[in-house]
Amino acid sequence: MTTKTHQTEPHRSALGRRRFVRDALSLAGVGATAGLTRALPRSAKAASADPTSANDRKLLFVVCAAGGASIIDSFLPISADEAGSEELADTLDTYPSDWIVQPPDSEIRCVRALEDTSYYTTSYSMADLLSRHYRDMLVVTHEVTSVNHAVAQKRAVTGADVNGGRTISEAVAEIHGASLPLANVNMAVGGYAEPGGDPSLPVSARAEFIAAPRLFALATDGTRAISGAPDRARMDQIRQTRLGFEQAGAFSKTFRAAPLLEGYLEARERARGLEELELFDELLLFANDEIPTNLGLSPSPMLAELLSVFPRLAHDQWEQQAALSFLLAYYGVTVASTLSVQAATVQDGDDLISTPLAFDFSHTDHRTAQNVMWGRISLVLDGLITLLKSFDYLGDPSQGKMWDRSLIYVATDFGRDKVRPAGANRWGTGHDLNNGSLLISPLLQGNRIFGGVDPTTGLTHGFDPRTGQPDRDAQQREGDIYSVIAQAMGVDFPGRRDMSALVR
Amino acid sequence: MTALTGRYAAVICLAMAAACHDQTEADAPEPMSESGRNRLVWKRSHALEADLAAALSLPNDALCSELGSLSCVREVHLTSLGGHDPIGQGMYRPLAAPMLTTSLAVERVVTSACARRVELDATGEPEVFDAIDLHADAPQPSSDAHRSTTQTLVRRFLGRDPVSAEYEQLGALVTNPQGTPSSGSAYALASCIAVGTSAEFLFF
Amino acid sequence: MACAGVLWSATVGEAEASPLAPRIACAEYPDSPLCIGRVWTCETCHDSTDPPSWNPFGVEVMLALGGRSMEQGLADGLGQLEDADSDGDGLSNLEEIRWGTNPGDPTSWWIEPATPEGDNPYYDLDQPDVEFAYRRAMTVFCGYSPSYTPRAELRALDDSGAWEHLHHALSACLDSAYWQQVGVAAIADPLIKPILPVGADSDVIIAGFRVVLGDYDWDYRLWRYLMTGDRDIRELLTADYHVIESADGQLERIEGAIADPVELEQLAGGQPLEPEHRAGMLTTQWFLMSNTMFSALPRTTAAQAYRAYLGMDLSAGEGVWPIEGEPLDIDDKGVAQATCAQCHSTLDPLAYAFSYYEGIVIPTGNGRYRAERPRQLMPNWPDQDPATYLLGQQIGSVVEWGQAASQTQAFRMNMTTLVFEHALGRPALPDEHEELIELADSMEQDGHSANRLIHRLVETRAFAAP
Repeated sequence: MTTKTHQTEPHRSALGRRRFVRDALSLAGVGATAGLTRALPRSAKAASADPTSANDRKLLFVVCAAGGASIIDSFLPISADEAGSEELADTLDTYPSDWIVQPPDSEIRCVRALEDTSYYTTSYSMADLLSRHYRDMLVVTHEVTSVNHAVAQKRAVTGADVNGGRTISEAVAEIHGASLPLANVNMAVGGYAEPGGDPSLPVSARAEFIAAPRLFALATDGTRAISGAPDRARMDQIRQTRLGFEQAGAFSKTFRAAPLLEGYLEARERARGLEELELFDELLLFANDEIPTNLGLSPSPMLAELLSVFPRLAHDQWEQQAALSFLLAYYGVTVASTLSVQAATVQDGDDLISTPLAFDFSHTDHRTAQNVMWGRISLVLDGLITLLKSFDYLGDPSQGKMWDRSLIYVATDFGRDKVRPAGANRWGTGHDLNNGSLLISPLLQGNRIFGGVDPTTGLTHGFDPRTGQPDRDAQQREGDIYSVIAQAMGVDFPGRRDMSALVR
Repeated sequence: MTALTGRYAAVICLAMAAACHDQTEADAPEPMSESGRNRLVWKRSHALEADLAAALSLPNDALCSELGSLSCVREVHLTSLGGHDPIGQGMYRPLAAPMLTTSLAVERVVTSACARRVELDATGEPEVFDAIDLHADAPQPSSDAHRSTTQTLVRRFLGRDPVSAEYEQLGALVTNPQGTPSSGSAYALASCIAVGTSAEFLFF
Repeated sequence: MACAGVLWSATVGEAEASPLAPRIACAEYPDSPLCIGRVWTCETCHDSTDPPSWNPFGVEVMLALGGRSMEQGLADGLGQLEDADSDGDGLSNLEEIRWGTNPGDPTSWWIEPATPEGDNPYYDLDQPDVEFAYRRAMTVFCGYSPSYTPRAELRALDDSGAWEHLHHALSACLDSAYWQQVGVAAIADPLIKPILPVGADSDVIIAGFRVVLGDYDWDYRLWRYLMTGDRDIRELLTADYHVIESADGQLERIEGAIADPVELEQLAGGQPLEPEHRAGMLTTQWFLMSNTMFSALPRTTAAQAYRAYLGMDLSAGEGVWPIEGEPLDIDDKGVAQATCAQCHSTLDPLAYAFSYYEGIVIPTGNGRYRAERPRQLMPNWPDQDPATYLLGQQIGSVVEWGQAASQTQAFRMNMTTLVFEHALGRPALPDEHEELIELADSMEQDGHSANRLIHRLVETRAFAAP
């Protein structure tokens, strides 16, 4: 491993420091002046203290289909009667035509929920997602550059380092979340959870890793609901005293410039801005009867709305991730959220609604894994979009619906083998570079397929990124997908590829 | 190891087994030479929990729980406090550096533990806050009670003696934010939180 | 295009970058940290490998070659560039090679820390400080910080007495339940990569059977056993035994095959592999199951062995050591294509020997050795078995793979690095590389003991100097 090495991080400028303090005070001041309402949350008011930036702000959701989600088993399926011969149809990963659904007016089609998914249950149908949101959906074909899970996952979010190693979430957070306390959160696993490799990334754009989304509310305040804790004013006094105590001691004097210490002290100050937003109750994903009565806590005021689209919120971390990502965006705290399905099997009553190893269970039972897991992805996509379409950004009607500024990128590692034993419905597949991605956003040219698939091989081919016309000799790469998102989100960087045909 | 005045003074104190803070509280020379290497290590969740329990003479499971039953250190804030759970969460490496919420998690854990210690000391034989009356007003900053309390906390959390400026800084906590005298228990709690959440407790 | 493994492309337009380049470079600069127990990575010259693009150093190397092949011109070309600063970060290319930073990356550089001036009565700055080291050693290896009294007692000792006291305390830490059960196990997490739903604690039940595909606790126990008690850590790659744990936490060797515990209504979870086919951590049921899975040619298994135990991640362009005539594309995955071949010419010959070991077999048989497996799964498997190579050395089996690997400088460097990074929470910095290499080299005279390595580590400037 070649280590990128730096003596210390660059010292932040005095101007930058003053700007941070100003922002933090601004957030705190606004937050203290008004009571919380669901229509106009306190934190949202704080964020809207800078209306210009709030008006232009974009929201990115990176939904990671970990393990290898195949585009030809989801939103670019091949019908058996397109393969050219019965023999070929039987040995390629094709579906009977009546297993494929296509809403009227939709350019995109998908595989329906299958009846036989072994011991697993498809908890949601891709067809429902498509019928509701096809106008904003794009299928973009590509070929990635690694079939190693960890490497491919990281490349899926860094565009194979097309932007100096920054993840797309980091890049979006830098542009749209500079004044926000938690601009970028990451709830994913594996390569999707790794930070990008750009050491010049501002601290404010770095991802906050959240391992337990349902409990994240508890990390947003230093003392709330702690039995016997000092009140806020006293805590502020303690913190001020602590600073003086630290500065008086030899430890801080000796290690004043230690990057680890500097970073911690700066984050500690920024955390006070987070605390002032009073997100504790807004983010608490527990029902009333799950919260001890003596703590003075109440569930998120959005809980009913969340449960209407995420019914397993109490026990399914996947739905918890989605719910938290929505809330953090709604309250104006976050502009980039990354979530991912996990390796663990999830049980819902008697049903197993997630395969072991997520999409990588395709090694054992390809079709079952793809259908069950794509259904699981689709449930969260539909829930997120439904919420984003329902609520005004920051609870402020003048900001418009959240969806108008949102983009969802369904990232995955790579595709899967395109062939199967003749006529098999249950078989295992290896990893394949060839695949495609699903993007959903009103900021993109929706209801389109960019690229295509050869029904005689199962392999996808690319397109001309400026005209959008299919090109059988072209292949898009991770950097192209990254560039589409960046362009739609108003993120520019040297080397960004022109993907105008895909962007509204 | 060079002859270090402050260090040996502490040894002398230990040998004398007496409150000889006068020999340990001289402030360091100004300007004090700074490290050029500046390579500290983050104290991770396991050691943080062990050190907090030892500092406050509490069992681990009495330190902090969220929502009445969830361990703050081992469950709710594990990642934020630098731990990792390879089996339960599929996280094979801990975070490289603290996150934004780390300081808040530290405050929650330490505040909970300190509150528990103050409560126990106020209702039974005191283990930590034995130099002050927790039911009376806070001691004066110039009092032996304040000096002893400060020394106890700094020794217990940081393993060393305080310097004079540190006594002065913590003296601010004998009054509440409104400027009126603080209670003994509120002073004890505040001092405990201030020292227990200081950066020196978290990095080494 | 299906490249069934990691992909690394390094074609350089008309003049292709030879995957031999890293080895040629390291022959020129054998003392560079970029070459100790490793070879140059692709990043040294490339910004991207697909599509290929070059960093400023890579561009200048290409120009310096002047049309010559890597074999003919690289050594000379590198020599011409030593005084240049290709990436413009203020350090010459030669300085960067000596420090181990990247001469083609302007964000990778190194300046030695300033020497402290003036007095600091609390810390012995820039040199090993025994009290500083004591606090670190206790916190890292005992799991708690030393309290006031032991620190004061340490201060009362003279320097040699204080270090002796530290080592005495450290020995107790290394024998403690914390280190043996928690601390040392944490180092192994990214090597073993446990997955709860298919491990021994799985609660997933299908058709009356728990979905236990392997039991990673065997792996952790073997790791913990060999990384403690002054044992020879080379046996991590050579052990033909396994380890059990008594109720009081004592680890003991157990010989012979251990049947899968089917009485627990699970399909796997033992260590049924015959001892003669074992190579320590490389052949546990969990390692083979979780890496090979259903692959005919277990490239992921070989790559993980290379990454985890020799410190070289082929998917990141590390450890490229191509074998002439490879890859054979023995399983017809298209890896002979140019974009794949530059990596697979190392990876495939690294993996052939693993083909005899099962990954997942339904319903039973995970991790077993089966001589006929390669031919059954790969019709192109030749009559004469393809030769397996590790770092250019031909080997005959996974057992030999482990034996050869365990003797390498790469293994010693990797094991030292794992311990170093666990202790300090970060990779070694350029001014620490020399100490890191010395630590790794000391393992041969210390009987390859992790404990003794740790005792040496705590006296280094990297660990002990504030």
